[in-house]
Amino acid sequence: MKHLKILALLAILLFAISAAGAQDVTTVTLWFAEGSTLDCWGPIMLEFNDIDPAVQLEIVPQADTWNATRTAVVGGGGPDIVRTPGPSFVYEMAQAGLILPMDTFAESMGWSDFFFDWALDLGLVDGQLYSLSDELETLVMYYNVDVFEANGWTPPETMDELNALGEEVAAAGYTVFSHGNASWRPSNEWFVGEYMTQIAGPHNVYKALTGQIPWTDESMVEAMEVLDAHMQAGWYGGGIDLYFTNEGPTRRAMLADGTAAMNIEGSWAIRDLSTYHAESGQDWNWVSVPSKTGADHFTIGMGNTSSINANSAHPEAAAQFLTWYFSPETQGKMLTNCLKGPAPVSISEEVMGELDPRIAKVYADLSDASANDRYGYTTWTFWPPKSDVYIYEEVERVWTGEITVEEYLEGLNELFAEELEAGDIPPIPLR
Amino acid sequence: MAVLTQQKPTTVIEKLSDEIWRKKFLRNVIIPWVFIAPLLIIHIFVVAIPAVQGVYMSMTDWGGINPNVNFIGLDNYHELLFEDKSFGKSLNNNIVWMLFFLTVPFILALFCASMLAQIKRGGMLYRSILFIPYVLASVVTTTIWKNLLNPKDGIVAASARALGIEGFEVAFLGRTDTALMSIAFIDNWHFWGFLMILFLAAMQAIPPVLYDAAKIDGANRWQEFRHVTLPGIRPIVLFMFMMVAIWSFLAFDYIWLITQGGPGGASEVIATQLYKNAFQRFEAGYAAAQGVVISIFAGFIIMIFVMLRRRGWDI
Amino acid sequence: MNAHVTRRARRNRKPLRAYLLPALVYCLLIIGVLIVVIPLMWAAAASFTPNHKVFEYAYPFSWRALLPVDFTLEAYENIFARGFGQSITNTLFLAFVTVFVGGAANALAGFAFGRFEFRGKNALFMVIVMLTFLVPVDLTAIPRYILINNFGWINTWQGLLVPGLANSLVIFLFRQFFAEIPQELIDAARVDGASWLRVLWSIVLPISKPVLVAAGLLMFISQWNSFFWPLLVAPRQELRVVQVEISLAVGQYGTIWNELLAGSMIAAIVPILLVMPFQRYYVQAITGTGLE
Repeated sequence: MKHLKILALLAILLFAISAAGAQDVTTVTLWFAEGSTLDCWGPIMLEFNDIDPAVQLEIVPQADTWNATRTAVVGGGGPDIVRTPGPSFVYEMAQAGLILPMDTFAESMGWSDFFFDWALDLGLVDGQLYSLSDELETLVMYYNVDVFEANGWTPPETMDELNALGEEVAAAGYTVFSHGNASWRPSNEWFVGEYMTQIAGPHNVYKALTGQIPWTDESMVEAMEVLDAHMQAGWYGGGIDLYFTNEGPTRRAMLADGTAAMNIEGSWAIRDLSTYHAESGQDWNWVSVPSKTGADHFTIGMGNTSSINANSAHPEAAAQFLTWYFSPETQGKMLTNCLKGPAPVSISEEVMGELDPRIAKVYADLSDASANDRYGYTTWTFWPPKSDVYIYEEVERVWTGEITVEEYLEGLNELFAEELEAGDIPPIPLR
Repeated sequence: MAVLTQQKPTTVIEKLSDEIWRKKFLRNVIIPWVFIAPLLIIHIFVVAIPAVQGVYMSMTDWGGINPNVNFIGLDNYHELLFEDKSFGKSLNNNIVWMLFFLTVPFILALFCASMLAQIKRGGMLYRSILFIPYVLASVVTTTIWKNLLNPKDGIVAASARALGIEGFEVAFLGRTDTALMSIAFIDNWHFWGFLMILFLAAMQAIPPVLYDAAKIDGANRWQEFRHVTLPGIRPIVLFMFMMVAIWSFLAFDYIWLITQGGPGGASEVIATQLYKNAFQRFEAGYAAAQGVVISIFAGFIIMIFVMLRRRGWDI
Repeated sequence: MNAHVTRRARRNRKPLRAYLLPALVYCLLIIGVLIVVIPLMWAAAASFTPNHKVFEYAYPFSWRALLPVDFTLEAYENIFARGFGQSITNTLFLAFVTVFVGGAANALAGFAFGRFEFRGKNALFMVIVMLTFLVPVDLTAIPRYILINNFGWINTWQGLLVPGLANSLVIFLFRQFFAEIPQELIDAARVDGASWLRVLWSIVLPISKPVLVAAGLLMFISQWNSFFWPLLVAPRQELRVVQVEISLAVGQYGTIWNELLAGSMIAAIVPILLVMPFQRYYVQAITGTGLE
């Protein structure tokens, strides 16, 4: 028996040597937008190449990454690792057979050991695993600590408190929320999703997403009325027209220099906050977005997904890379070094301890919320594509006074019903 | 040649009729196709096949990713033309856009070109400067102008304030009533220099004798422009009229880069709608139908010009 | 208009009109030129400024924004270190091959459409021109990519080049120009026994300078500005073209403004150098022909 083992080992060694001797290097390709993100992520990702000289990662800088990827993959080419902006894109690609089911890899490489269960479920299409979610995100309410202290304000916990504080903030001459959608039009949907979650409640949103109640439900109407009132009062960006023209950097600068008091945004904003606020010298902190009941609700979102291209010549090697990349160690390193939103994997307490406590608390509270039934849904991760586009496109018509909240929700309800019937809904974790 | 011209044409044809017939066949069938072949082959592969596939896709429920599609005939067209309210609105914006671009840049370009035509020294420098915006990448142009139009600190608002002019501290790009026209202004900033260069070169090709003659007849500046310059550059003006009309239906990049059709659909045009349908809503078949409709508009415009020419317009 | 001016105007009408009108015209011209020049100056100055200071004087706006007060060549050094030089060579090579190969193919076809009578000529011409206007470039990109992929041309020069060769505007120009060449010129050569290729080469080409230059410019500029297709078909770094290289400065979470502007400045200069000396040919090619 022992002999056999040694023989087997020798055989493997011999095979490995001959493979290496023949320069049989397998290259896994990955397309990535160049820029500051890649500058930080790239070197860490390339550490993968030190593990096994026979399996090498090649990062190809690619502008307009998603458009290029989609066209190339549909056209029978593209990189080995296919990154998409979200589950609904994965759904389409899986249906078309453009990406591979990864269940066998998940089993042999033990992905369920480190991924949260609900997170792996997000990648299911017709019961098979097609993608791994990356960049866990949630929305919180940031505020400028210096401004709050100077005026003796305390961060609000309930919607009523927010309404009262907002008026006070506006009366004191500050912009309530530093905001603007000129750099990223879909930011509209952050607020639609957040107000629905915080006012109608995550359970109602869940019911609507599963077709048990319509989107025209009273609670949804209330949520959208409150959001519209805040918009009309000019709380977002200092006025609706300014909201439509403020660029990303303006939005950051407003909170950092104390022109604005608060900002409802995703955890991705932390990366910028630390630089902008270091420059202005004013401090920031965050609280969970105020809710009607006062409970801390955290919406869950995913910034990215990774899959394996069906055209890949070596899916096994691609899966090896994914295993390494999504491992808590790699994710932890990217979190601490680049403030990358971590994949939904269990990162050690130790790593989290190295972080700015404000940042660590976002992820700790989020995981606490998801364990205690206080989690909600972000529109870009859990809504079907047409409804999602409708949410951020058409809501502008509400804010510009062209249609009423009721008309908006009726339209959403109609479109959503169509997509629900067609089965184009991303997997919603049961509650 | 000398021999031929001395003979009557009829006898030549009789003598050479057999050979002429063969030559005719060669000339009318073989040679034309030989000349066209290289282009035709390239065209078939890179334009025609993809385009025909696009037309086919417009009659399917293609989502944009999954190649397995269902043929649904003209359903997309029916929905587009009779049910989709936003299409009418976008088309309306395209027409407003076209009216803007058929007037403002033409007037600007004609005016500046006729001014520059008189400048003897340094003309090349002016021309080059006015032409730079045309060759700048649209990402750059739009970024610059988004910053310049910033209602609080942008140069437009700041200089208006300094000069005591009111009404410019406005988020032009964020209001439903001004967004489309502001984007048109920015696009025009980039575009009109191109027209001006064309008109200027055309003006300089007008024989100076014509101007001298006009002066002798006692024509003033305006009459000179009206009766000498304008007729002289008419072909290029009309040609550009046609091109601009077609381009107006394809307007996309400036609108996409600045407002993506917002706020509230105020600057939505067919091409931005098409892009959203194809790549965000997974309705590529429907988007392809929109594309075909735009092409039909473009074809329609060409037909109008062809007809005008047939009726004796000197275009 | 105040009283002083009107009084003067009544007293001495002619000199005032003689001065006022040109003054007004020049004022308008100056304002016009400022509207064009100020944004350009800002862009040029910003390309010579460290990235974190690009917007420093733009908000709130001051004259410093128009001059590179914190002068640095950092942006230019960075983009060239990243391979901007290579992308310029690539694009120049591509553009010149396009002009010559595409020019030849389009000219031959344009000649056939303009000078020969054959069955289905007008229909074929219409189809060729119309199909190119069949818009959604992004949509036709998918079938086109599939085709090119089947040829194995991804990441090759052919893949980059071939789709840029057929250009309906160029065929259009050639057709119009050739159609107006006097018949006698061609007949004379034909009777002397010259082949059609010979006629094209030694009779037609020498008098076609305007249309050749115009078509060449059109093809050159469209290849120089092409972005989406090269992005798809040739992601390999060695084949990267100028517009793709520039756009790399626009990242997912932030833009390196000074590099973006520096790249754009260089990318703008090349077509200007080419267009300016040749502009009159461009117009001659269009005006000389008109439209049918």
